[in-house]
Amino acid sequence: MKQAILTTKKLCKSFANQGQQNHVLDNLDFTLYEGDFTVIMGSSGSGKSTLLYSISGMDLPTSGQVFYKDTELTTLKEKALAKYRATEFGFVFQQIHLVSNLTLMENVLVPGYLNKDRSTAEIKAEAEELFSKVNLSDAKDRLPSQVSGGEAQRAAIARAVINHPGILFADEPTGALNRKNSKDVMALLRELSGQGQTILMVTHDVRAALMADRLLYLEDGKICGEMEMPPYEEANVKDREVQVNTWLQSLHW
Amino acid sequence: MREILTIIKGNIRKNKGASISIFVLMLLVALSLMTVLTIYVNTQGRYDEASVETGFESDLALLNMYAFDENQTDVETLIAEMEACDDLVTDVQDIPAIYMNLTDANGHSDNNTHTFIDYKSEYLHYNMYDADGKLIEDPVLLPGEISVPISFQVNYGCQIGDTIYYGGDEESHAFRIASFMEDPVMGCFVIGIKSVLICEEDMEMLNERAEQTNMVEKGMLLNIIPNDTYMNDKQDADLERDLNNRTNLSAYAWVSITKDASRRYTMIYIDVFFAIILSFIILLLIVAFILLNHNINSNIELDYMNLGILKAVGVSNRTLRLSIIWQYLFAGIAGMICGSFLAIPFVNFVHEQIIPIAGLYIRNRLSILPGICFYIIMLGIMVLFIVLKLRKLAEITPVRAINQGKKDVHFSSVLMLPISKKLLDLSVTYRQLISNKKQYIGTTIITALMVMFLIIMNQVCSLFDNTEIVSKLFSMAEYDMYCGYASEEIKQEAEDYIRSQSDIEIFHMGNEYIIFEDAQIYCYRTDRPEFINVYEGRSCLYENEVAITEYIAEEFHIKIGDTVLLSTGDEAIEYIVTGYYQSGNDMGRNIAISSEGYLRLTGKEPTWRGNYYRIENSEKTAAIVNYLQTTYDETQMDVEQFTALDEMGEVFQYATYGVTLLMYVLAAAFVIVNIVMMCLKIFAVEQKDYGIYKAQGFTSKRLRNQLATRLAFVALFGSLLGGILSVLFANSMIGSVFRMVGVRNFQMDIRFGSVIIPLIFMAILYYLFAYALSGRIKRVQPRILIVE
Repeated sequence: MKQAILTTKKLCKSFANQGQQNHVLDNLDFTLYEGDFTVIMGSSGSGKSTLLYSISGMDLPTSGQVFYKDTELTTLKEKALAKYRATEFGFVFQQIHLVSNLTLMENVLVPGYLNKDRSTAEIKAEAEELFSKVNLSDAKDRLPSQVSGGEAQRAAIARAVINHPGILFADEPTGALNRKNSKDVMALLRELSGQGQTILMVTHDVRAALMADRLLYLEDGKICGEMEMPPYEEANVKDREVQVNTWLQSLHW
Repeated sequence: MREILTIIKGNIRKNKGASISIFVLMLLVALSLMTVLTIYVNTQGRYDEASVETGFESDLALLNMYAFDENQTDVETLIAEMEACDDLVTDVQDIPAIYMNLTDANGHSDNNTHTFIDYKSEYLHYNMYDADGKLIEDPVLLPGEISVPISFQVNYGCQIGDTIYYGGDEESHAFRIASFMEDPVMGCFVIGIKSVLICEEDMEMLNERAEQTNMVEKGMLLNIIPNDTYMNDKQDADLERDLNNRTNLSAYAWVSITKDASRRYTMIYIDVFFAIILSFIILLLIVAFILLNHNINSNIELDYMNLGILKAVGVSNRTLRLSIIWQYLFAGIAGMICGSFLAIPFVNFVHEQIIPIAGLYIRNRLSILPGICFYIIMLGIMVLFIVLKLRKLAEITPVRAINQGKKDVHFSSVLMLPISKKLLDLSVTYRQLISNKKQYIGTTIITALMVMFLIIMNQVCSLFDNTEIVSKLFSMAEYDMYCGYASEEIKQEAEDYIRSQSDIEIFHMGNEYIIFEDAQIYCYRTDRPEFINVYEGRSCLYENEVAITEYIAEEFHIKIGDTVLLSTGDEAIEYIVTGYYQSGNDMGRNIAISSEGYLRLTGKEPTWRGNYYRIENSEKTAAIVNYLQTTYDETQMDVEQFTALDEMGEVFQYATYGVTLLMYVLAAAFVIVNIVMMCLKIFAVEQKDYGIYKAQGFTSKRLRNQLATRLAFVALFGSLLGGILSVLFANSMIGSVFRMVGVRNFQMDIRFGSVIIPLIFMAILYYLFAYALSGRIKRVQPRILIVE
């Protein structure tokens, strides 16, 4: 039996545009399960990224509720939300977004330092281990401007997991990368998932979606399709691809 | 033109903050400049107008009528002698006068001699004003009424309707103040001798009394009208010297006032504060240009992509340049116009304060023309500056601009420190600081310049609180108290008491005008010349020696060891200059001789008004003075504790406090504008970083604190630099101000308090305003990082 880690109830997000309300998320009910690698797909403007930041404490929904474990995030003040972002959620952005004047290592250490329960030595050791895992040990002391997009995104993933977050959110993590770098990044996410990390990822990339345990399809702010996938193995990638493509075609992708 | 206007509109809309900042900067500069310029021009102008209206041309001599009796000659003979020098003078106007001492004006009794003139005098026509400062068209003075200079308000706290008393112990004459008069000759606050106006009947009455009592003295003023040809290449002081040299004027005039000297006394405060504030305004202008530079650079950097797009659609470099120039010019010109209008109430307010000090009814009108000239120069420099800054526009190719946008961050610094867990916020702040050091250079310079000026002003203020330093700067000799006794018995009793409290040194001091190198100069005499504050050479210990101020040395081109001629109107006697001392009397135009020197000069033993005491245990002075004042009444003893600052000094002190406060306000305003500009740029450049930090779990409060701390660091660094600059330049800058009031030897140690106050002021100001302005960090949501 899967354990729900995050649920939303009647989640709405609207934006005002020249006096008109644009309802990007429309009474959306959704559950994320612990340990799952969930991928959200959908056409442009369907509300995928909006959903991601509305449930990750990056932005406030217009109405509705978001529960993380037993806590209702939508009632929290900014300070409490910041604490959740620091310790419970990790986020990987499409455009990478590393602080430009911090080295890759420092970019990873800073959120680690926000966790008061861990010593500096512990955080540094973990960061070293992460850099080794993401194959960036040689580049860790470089500035973001001095490394490739793939290297920067792998550093961003290391940053996102330094505090062992309950959920790792990834917004098109391969969107700004070339094929080779995309493959590396997805392998890394799959590896993390294999270690039990809950991941919620938004993507357009079918190849990236193949790694998911569960696929959701978003259209006009509502989930209009869902598919459970068998456990991921390198050997069954072709079968998964056929399965995913068929499913997407049924949704007019 | 349409495209330029459209681009300007867009630029202003986008860079509202920057345009408002330029507007505020120019408003502040124009407000200060127009105010100071107007006050200076108006005071100078009114002095000239009032001199013409009064009929004062070059020199006014106050004659000692007893001297004529002693020499068995008369005024007519002297006038004839003077008029015979027709290459020097064209006319000598004689104005009958009465000399009397002021004995009581609202409780003040400084015993200064005032000159009474008939208000309907044939030659000198003084303007009279009512209590509201309105010119009285056909003034009338009735018997018992008097018109006094407006400076009586400051000197004695007098208002129209008050009664003042002249005369002495034996005879007192009361006059009711009916109006205020405008006297360009002696009307200013710093001149002790004053002219007052009364009616013909009172003049006659006082003339009669002069025959019967020595409390009232007959007098005569000579208004000397110079020969225009002579004055083409000569100064008023030259005329005085030549007249003293070629006629017996010096033997009969107990004081004479040249127009140059009276202008100097009238303008002294305005000149000093004009110099200080103008220096500050120049500093503000430098700061304004630093801010402008910073602003233009930031805008080009931040607008890189837009400029590229505009170029891509065919907008020329010239059009872009013009649009940016006009954008700043609009803001600058609007600021200048508003600043000029806002100057009106300031000018009116300052005029009200200056009128009783200068003794002139300064007109409230803006100096538009000189102001506009300054503005045009300022705008010209601004345009030139912008054109130079915009040269890099040409280097931007459309493709490069659109593709590249902002520059990548590349830096390596020996100052780099690791990010620490314990000092996380501080280390992040430090990293932000050193990773874009250039961004803070302007702010550092601005803070340094402001702090330097504030420290210097603090130094001046603290100087006035230090009796010892002020005494050395402005007093010929230091003493703790002065006593004038009614009898020898009282003197004996009092001195026994003083000696019982502390060891004492007693000396005597007096003064009068004498002829020094053919010019009438204020001369001190003392029986203890070793007490004179000589700072170079030595004191005038022997009968043929004179000590002088450096002001005198410069005016007469003499130095220690030179021989000079002194006289009291008769034969001139040689004296050797032995040293330089300092005294603020007559704005530093004074000399000092010993009792023996005085005896040699005049053939008379000097007489002394009272005793000056140096109390070894000077902390007891106040108690001693208090005891004497409570034990003896005013008829028995006149006792005063030494105050380093006389009334003039106090006005100077208060004006300095006022100007310092004004400078703090202006410095704060400029710093706030700077913070606004800095924050605008920081937000634009670092908005993404704030989003990232927030996404990592930093709160808005922490990020705001980081930004505020960063700017406070910069302020502290700038302040330290300002502190160093002030150590280097304070003495020379304050010294140059004191030179204007006759002080030539100025040395002062920088005080800790003077430095630390601006330092803390700046750091707090930067921190608070950066924190307040960083409120928009709260509005930065991590969602800005998410691309839909």
